[in-house]
Amino acid sequence: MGASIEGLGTARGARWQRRPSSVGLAVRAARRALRNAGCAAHEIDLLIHAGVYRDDNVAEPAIAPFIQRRIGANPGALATSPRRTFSFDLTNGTCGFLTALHVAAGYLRTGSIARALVVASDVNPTPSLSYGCSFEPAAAALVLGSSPSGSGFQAFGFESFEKDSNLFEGRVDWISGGRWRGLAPPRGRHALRISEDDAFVARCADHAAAAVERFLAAHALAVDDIDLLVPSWAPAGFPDAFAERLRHDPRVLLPERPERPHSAGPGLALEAALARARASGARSLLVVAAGAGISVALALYRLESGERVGA
Amino acid sequence: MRPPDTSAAGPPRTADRERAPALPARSRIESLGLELPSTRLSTAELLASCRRGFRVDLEGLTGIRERRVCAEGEDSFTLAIDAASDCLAHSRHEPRDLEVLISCGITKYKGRESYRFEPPLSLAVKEAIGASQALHFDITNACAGMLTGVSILNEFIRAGSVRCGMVVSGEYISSISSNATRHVRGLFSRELASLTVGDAGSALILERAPEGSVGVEACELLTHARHDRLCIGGACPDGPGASMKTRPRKLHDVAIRVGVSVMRKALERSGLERMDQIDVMIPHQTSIRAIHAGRKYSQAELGSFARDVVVNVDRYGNTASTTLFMALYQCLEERRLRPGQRVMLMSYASGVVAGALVFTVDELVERYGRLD
Repeated sequence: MGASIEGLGTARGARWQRRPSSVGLAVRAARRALRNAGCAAHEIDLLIHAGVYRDDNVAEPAIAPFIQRRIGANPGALATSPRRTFSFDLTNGTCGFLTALHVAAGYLRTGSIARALVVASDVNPTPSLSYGCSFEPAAAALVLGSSPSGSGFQAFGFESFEKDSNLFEGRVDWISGGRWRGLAPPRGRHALRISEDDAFVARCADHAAAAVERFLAAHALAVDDIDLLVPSWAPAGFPDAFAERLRHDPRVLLPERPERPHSAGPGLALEAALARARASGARSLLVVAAGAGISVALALYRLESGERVGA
Repeated sequence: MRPPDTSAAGPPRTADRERAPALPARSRIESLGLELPSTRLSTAELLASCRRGFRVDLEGLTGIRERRVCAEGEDSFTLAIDAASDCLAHSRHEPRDLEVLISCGITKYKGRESYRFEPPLSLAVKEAIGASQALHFDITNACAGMLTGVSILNEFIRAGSVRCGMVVSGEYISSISSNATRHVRGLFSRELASLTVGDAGSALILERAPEGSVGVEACELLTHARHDRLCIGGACPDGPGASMKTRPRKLHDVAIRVGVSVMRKALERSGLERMDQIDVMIPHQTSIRAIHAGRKYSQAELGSFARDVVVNVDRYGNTASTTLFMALYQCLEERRLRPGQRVMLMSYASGVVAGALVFTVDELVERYGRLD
């Protein structure tokens, strides 16, 4: 039993929005994905949010229940109700989206669930004080259902390269001091700090290209067996760097215009890949994500002939 | 020019390669680990530091006498790493055997005032303990985090794609208490529950059980998202660390009602009919009053209840995602469990999330509680 994409949706923060909401973006993407899948929210058994940076730095509860309630995925159900939803957050930087798909596929494989929704969204949680935050608010959502074993996600691969863990860090720090407001001296405020080494994207591309080689070998495949190589759109610059490592193989799908999403990067790339596959008849896709760690995530996807996913 | 070093720490992890057991496979808890800070803080000492003339008998209200709190140099990372190391010390597995490592804490402090989002905490734990083969990721699901991690790993094992993995959590959560001492005024303060927490690290290894042996019988979780705003925690607006605001009474009432339905489902999945077929219940540790009220309500709804209910909140407070497996560890150390006994771990969390894990105790008991 495999796992296949039934619908996909994306959303981007509007330029006029000073403080877009990560939950709001996630809900928009989720609704689009459900519409494309032709399924109702109450048919979702499992909801995983794979975004990293969220509204107001909320640590508890997970962001997923907020999304679950707003899209109407059985918010009032009990365990004995005929339909119910379980939701939680999963984070693995910009590899989180593919990691969450792998986890959801595990639940589908055992038959514990029939349908899952994986969503990723990020916003700058402290826009009035942040350092090094260059990503743009964006969200991607994907409805995943069961499929015959010959189609859908065939395999996932994950590697990590801890020696390069210092090349990218995202954290929220307490900064003491600040502007006087009223009589009391300011204690300080929390600020998002993202530090990205100049070598980060290049190292992501190096590790990703090598991981692709090992993944294909492990599955007795060659690059020629893949119709589309789909690098995630995050981190910024990764698609071009990855394409360069693969000597600008024409099968590498690049974004039409530069975008700077974060955890939604693989979802946005997959949306473009599915559109290309519909146009070209491509059947096999290899999605490649990389991010802080450095971690690399790979997902091999097979489309049925004539399958129109995400339309 | 030398080519860049792109070698992975081990062979590529192709995580869903089939292993050919009889499916679905059964999982079992192979080992547990615990890390408690050595610094003790009594409820009386905590209340003495409240700034606004706070006059509530918190110990009388909750039964919490003291809790452990991190000292300088301790944080979510150190608690998680030490708990993971303790778990491996009790395990037959080597770090390289771990195929998955899931970090499940609400808090992700590396340093007392720095909350780290990337790289994930699971990567730091994996690196520290040498679990070079493990797929790593973080899970957040409030106090149900570790049970959520167990659910995920259980599904991988049931599907036959993983043999063993680790679920770990390090909770440096006591900053919500110290921040609350500046804000709380009385019994109805939204930060009252923040005064009940304590710090701890917990870890467990879940593995594929040999065919025909006992292990996990049910792992049921549900999110009742209608009440998603009854407990909200995040960065403190006026100080380092975190703060948390709760509507404790409403949260408790919703949680135990949802929890009863989860217990029913878990019993059904385990092939049981009555709660008194459960020998030992370990509920999420919030307060003694809440635990007894939950037991009374559940017993009335279900007709019976577990024979033994474990309580340790009086000594450690609410240690967030680590409460269940910390209490299980202590049951093992105190030799309260026997092979063949059926145990239910019951989680309640903001979201509102309720979850139940039912398993049968096996030879795990032999590796704990040894007299030195």
